[in-house]
Amino acid sequence: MNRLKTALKPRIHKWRTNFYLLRKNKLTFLSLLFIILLVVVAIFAPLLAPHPEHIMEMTNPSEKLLPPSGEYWFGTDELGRDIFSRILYGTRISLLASLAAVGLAMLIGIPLGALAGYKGGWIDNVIMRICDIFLSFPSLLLAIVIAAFAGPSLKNALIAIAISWWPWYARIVRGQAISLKERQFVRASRAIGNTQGKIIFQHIVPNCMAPVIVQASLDFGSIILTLASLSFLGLGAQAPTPEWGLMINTSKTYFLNAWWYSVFPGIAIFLAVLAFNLIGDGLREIMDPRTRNR
Amino acid sequence: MKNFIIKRILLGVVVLLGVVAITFVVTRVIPSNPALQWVGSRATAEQIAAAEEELGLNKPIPVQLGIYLNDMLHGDLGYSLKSHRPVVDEIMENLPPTLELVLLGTIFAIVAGMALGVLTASHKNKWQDHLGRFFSVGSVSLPTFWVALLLQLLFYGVLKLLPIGGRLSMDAQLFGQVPDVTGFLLLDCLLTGNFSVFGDALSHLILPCITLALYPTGMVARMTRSALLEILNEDYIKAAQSYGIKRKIILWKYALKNSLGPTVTVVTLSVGYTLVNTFLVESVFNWPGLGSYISDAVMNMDYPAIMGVTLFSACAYVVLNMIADIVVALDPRVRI
Repeated sequence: MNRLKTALKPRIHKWRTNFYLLRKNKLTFLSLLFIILLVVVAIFAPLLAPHPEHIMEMTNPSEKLLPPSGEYWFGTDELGRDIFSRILYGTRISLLASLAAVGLAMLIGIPLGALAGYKGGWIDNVIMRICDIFLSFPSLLLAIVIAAFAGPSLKNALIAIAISWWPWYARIVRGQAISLKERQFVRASRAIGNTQGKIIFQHIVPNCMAPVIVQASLDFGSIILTLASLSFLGLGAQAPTPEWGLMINTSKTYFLNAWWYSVFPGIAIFLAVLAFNLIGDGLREIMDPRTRNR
Repeated sequence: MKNFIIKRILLGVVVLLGVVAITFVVTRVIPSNPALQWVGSRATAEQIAAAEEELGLNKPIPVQLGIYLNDMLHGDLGYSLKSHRPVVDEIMENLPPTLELVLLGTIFAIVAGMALGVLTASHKNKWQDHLGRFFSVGSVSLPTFWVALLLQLLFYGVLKLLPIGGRLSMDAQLFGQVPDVTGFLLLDCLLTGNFSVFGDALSHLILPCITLALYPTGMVARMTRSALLEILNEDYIKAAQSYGIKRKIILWKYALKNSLGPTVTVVTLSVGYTLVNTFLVESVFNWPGLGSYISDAVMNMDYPAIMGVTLFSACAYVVLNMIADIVVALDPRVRI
């Protein structure tokens, strides 16, 4: 027990310093709080929304395009639905879909990266050149093409995003795998005759996860933004889903007479993306000691 | 040096081939029926079969890819399923308005971004710095299409200062004798001395350009700031200071010059990003360029058009990336 404690001590200490650094950087800390708020909103959207019945198909023509008021904080849309409730639900959609996109990108990228790093040689070369090709392609463009051909839906949009994003994770994991494969425990595992698949998934992949998760949190803002852009182009979520980008797309017809319809969903996108970007910046600063004292 | 450039260009070619292969696979693997699109929904089975024959869709996929590559090298991107015109011609027609936006937006971003970068670096940790840094992160987090709508709301809806969209107002189109020399409207107006149309065209350009410039402005400002902060600590700046040279001159002339390297890289890279961003901006401002063209193509499932624009933008992106790498390599301080 004591030995465990001493072994853990530097780790706890490291966590504490990191947390201290996080606290010191007020903007990063604020964004962390905001993200926690977003998650809470996403989970409890049905309880928090004042008009949960306004989420899906519903028409309420007598109350259409009402300006913000005590009853409808952010006004109503062209079908008379409460925009505030819809934005709250939108949090759930944006976060879940982005999470799914990142997860899928990891699912493709991590095994490929681990394989490339562990095997080396021509396999490594082929996989990495494919990564180069994907990365030399604007991700939004690739996502547009895939979503356009697969047919517009939220599911296809997030698959499209995952396909244009996986090389980032493959690259990181490859770098980790190269340094891991000569470590004692991996060599030991090889020596007792474990199969390659077992070595890769039991020893290499779990030890690559930390940098991958950091990278994912850096990417999250851009992914939310790309998803909203696809929905805005009509290639993502479809009506009546309360997705933020889609709401702005429908608001295009009405916004000159109903400013609230476009303004509030946009603020939601902006704040969510900003919070994740600020966290990303903060994390980078914490992990890069060169910029720490600036 | 020479070796590096040759290697980089070869890599660019490989990447381009890969891009072609990926777009090709994407367009063929995902089930859709281009032949039906070509002949229309009321066609008979024989007509569809004939169209498949004509479009080469009945051949094995690798053969189709080979044919596509061969055609592409001869400048042939196929025919639009909707208009039945060569995709290359349509791209060429829609390119100048988009380039106009991208170029002006980028120039704006360079000027504004560098000014902001110098301002924030010279007032490090003061309110100007905080505001500027907040702008840099903020501009990267803003949804472009939303900014476009907000600008329309403000400058058209509330202030009634600028037009809501399009490239020219109705009056100018009808009575202004719109010049057509190069396709770049502003340039054409200057060449023919048509200043009333020039003014009209310029007023239509302002909002889309600002929208597009936002992202690269933030990037340039960030890059300039960090490069300047590093450079301002160097000995030659201290030497210049001890000579009593004015702070402004040191900043704008001595220091800025050496911070240009990273800025150039960011600018070339962000031009590619801006090109894709125009797709979103054009659809809001109803701007008749490549973005509107690809949106129409997406709506109509016009796959040769989608592929054509994609390939074109990807090529532009790859070439710009290449230029960025080579420019960095040209800097004598960088050793490869």
